[in-house]
Amino acid sequence: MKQRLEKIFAQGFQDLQQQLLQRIAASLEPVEAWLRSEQEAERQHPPAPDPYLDERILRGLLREINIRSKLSHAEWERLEEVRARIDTVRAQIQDQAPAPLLLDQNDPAQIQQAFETHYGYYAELFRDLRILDLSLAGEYLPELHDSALSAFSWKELTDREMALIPPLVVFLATERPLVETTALALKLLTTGLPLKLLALQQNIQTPRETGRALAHRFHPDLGFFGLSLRSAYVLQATEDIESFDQEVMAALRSPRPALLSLWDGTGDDPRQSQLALASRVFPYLRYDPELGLDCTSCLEIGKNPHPETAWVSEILPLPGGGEEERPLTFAEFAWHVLDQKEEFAPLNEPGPENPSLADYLEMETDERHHLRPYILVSEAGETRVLLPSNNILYQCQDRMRLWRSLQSLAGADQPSEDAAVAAREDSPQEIAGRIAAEREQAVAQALQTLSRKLLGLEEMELALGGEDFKLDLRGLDEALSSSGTAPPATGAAGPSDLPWIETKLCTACDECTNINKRIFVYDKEKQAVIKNPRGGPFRDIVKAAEKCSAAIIHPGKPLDPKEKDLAKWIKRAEKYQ
Amino acid sequence: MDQLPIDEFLTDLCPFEKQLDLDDYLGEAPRWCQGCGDLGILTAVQKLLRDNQAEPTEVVCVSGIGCSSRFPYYLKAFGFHGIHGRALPISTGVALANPKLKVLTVMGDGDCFSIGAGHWVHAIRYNVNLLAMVLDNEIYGLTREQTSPTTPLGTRTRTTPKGAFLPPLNPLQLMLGVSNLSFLAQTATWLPQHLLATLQQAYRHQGLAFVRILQHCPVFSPQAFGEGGKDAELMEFLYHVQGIAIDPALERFGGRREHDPADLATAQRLASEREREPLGLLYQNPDLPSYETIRHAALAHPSPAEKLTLLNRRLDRLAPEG
Ligand SMILES: Cc1ncc(C[n+]2csc(CCOP(=O)(O)OP(=O)(O)O)c2C)c(N)n1
Ligand code: SF4
Ligand code: SF4
Repeated sequence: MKQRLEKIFAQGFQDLQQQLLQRIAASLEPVEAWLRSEQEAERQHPPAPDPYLDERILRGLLREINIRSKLSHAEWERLEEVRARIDTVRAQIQDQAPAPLLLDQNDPAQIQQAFETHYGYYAELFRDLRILDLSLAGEYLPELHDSALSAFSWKELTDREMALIPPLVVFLATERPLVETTALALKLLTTGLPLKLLALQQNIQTPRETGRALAHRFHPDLGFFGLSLRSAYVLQATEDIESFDQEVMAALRSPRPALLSLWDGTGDDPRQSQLALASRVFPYLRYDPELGLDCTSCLEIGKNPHPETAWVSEILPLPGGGEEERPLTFAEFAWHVLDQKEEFAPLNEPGPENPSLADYLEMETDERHHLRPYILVSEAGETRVLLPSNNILYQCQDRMRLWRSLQSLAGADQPSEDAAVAAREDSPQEIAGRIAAEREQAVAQALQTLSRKLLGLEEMELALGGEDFKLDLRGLDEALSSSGTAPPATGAAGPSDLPWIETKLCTACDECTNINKRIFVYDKEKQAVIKNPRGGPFRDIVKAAEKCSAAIIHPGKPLDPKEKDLAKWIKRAEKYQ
Repeated sequence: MDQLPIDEFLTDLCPFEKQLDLDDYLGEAPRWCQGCGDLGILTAVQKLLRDNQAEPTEVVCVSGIGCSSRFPYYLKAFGFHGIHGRALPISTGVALANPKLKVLTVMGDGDCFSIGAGHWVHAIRYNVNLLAMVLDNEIYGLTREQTSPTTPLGTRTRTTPKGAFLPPLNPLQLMLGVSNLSFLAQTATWLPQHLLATLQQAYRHQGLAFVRILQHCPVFSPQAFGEGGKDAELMEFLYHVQGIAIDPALERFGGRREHDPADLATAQRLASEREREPLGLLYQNPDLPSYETIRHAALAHPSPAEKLTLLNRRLDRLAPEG
């Protein structure tokens, strides 16, 4: 990981040198050009008394374009002084490309000092550029600017200027206990300096848990802790997420303090870091305070596999034949990655007191009495049944709590009704009423389905656990489909009956909105969402799916059983489900 | 000091409220056919300007002739609906006359690669500061279905009713062979995030940023580019830290290949092999100076003192002898 980061640092800041030089040239060029031509002209035509022209009058006429003539002697001297300073810095930048300053030590006082030196150097440059610009525009007012600019520090820099300064990156020592790392991060992030803190998460120490201890004893929780600071940029990621390099660069180039918590694996096996992500032990999160005023706008968790579900599942063959869908939890992670084999006891066959871990985690505390959940692991092509220790169960529970919290903060569990309401033309009361009615209907329908399932009338298919089923119920209200966030989970009854759009992929081609504006509307980003699935006949939805240039409209099932020619439209819809 | 109610003061402080949004870039209602890829490109350009908070009065959109060239009417900014094939020379003029303006050039494949081909090559060589987009639907749309330089071999059109006789021109290969090329990327209308990310990178580039945008015309070339992206086998995303980020949602639209946009030779090979359409940044050289910069440096800019001497000399010539 360190090597990869070094490569990102080396490549990612390549363009800074050019940009800084361009910025310097933009201010320096007019003065230098003028100086050059002035010297040249004097060399070629030394001033001589002229019998026909009064040179002073002509100079006066050309005043507007003559830089020097606009300035007093004192002003010109100041300009010269500043120019000389900028010139020196320019030569230094030309000589050596600016690169991030990497600090491997964690003493706040020393870091602060290093920061002041590093940023002070650039602050001085930008201050000088400002003096130059103001002087050239004839807007430098000594009574105003002298004192303001002499006390100039990096705090006065604009975001655009800050973006031209290579950041100061502090590697947080993660081998210390979490309290210390967190306290240090807090100390550094609240210094008011836009430091970039980088924690490489290598040794995940799992405290032996009783469930009574405070959460946040787990190293990877550093990212979640960062959210509480609200105004820091936070990135928590493993190497195999999409566009990892760009993600790291975006954090480093943010004008804000940033906390980067990156998974550095415990070995070379890439599956380990995939499992860290998939088991929600080390979920991806990015919090960019620039994106809005509420947490949902700033927090992004979309690069986790299946961000809308509680777990990611794998299908494993059962020892006695058949197969089982198995969620990836902390338990799988502890077995495969942390190698805590001593925390597991083998089991021949699950009995009535052994629910699967996924089911167990969905249960209320009082239902769990006397139950020992099992997990399945596959090793050397063989599937084994194992009973995880209590310690592991607590950890699973804790990871689940973290993931659910992230989901709700990011708005992945329930789309905001406010947002859905705002996107419509109908009055909010009307919509709220409809949503309430729809939810009631959904719950009734779900109860019916559930009781049928419990009575064994239908095979249990709730592959992703109880919480998702709840999620899906919420999905039944149209707010979900109109936010375009989550496609209804497969296998669950009811919700998938509703039409939905993969809004992110909408090309804004107008096909659907032209077919029926009561069903399809554009959201704020001009991408189509379903405003009201009952806004028109099923026929319109199927036609839109057929026409959709991006093939992203999924018609679901007809909501009005009395619609004409329904069989035909259901058949035509099949292709797009 | 002026008094402000606290809520107004806070909204003033809060940058989210005051920003330009998509509505600020809406021009006339588009008259393109429903489903036309041009609509999505218009939206992407509006988002591009919104994301960069570009004042509509500081943007000029120049086009040639064609369906795609109706673009300036629909974008709220300054516009110049030019003549067929001449969008690039007009844009060059605008960019040189007022370097502060952001110039967006919109052309069709017929417009740029056919009648405008001469200007195309030289505009790339001149490397003026502008963002040039070709909306390539492999057909002449406005004049209703004639063969364009990129129409595939064998395609029946009104000008080649027995099927196009020639294999199509390979615009990427051609551009990668033009001296002084500084930015070339390819994207497609069915990849909205990729399209926007590509335009963002092109927008930031100093020099001529050329973006070819693949699209299909649902009316006259519905089959183009695997019916507008429906065949993932035909496409390949290029990725690199200096390249264009690929949203995971787009993975189903094509394969992936690492490609360093600084590597011209590999870009040329990728383009000429033509196994799959490469999507992403093919080539970028941020260090090439733009034509404006070179020209400015090469020309004399006499100082007022010099002007004075020159004027003096000229007047001297008119003065009576003696
Ligand atoms: C000098 C000149 N020659 C021919 C035409 C006729 N003409 C108008 S648009 C067009 C081709 C447009 O095709 P393309 O550039 O691919 O744009 P599209 O309509 O497909 O977007 C032609 C040949 C013209 N307007 N002017
Ligand atoms: S038809 Fe498809 S691509 Fe076009 S606007 Fe509707 S959802 Fe978007
Ligand atoms: S004819 Fe084709 S290119 Fe022209 S507007 Fe219609 S769909 Fe678009």
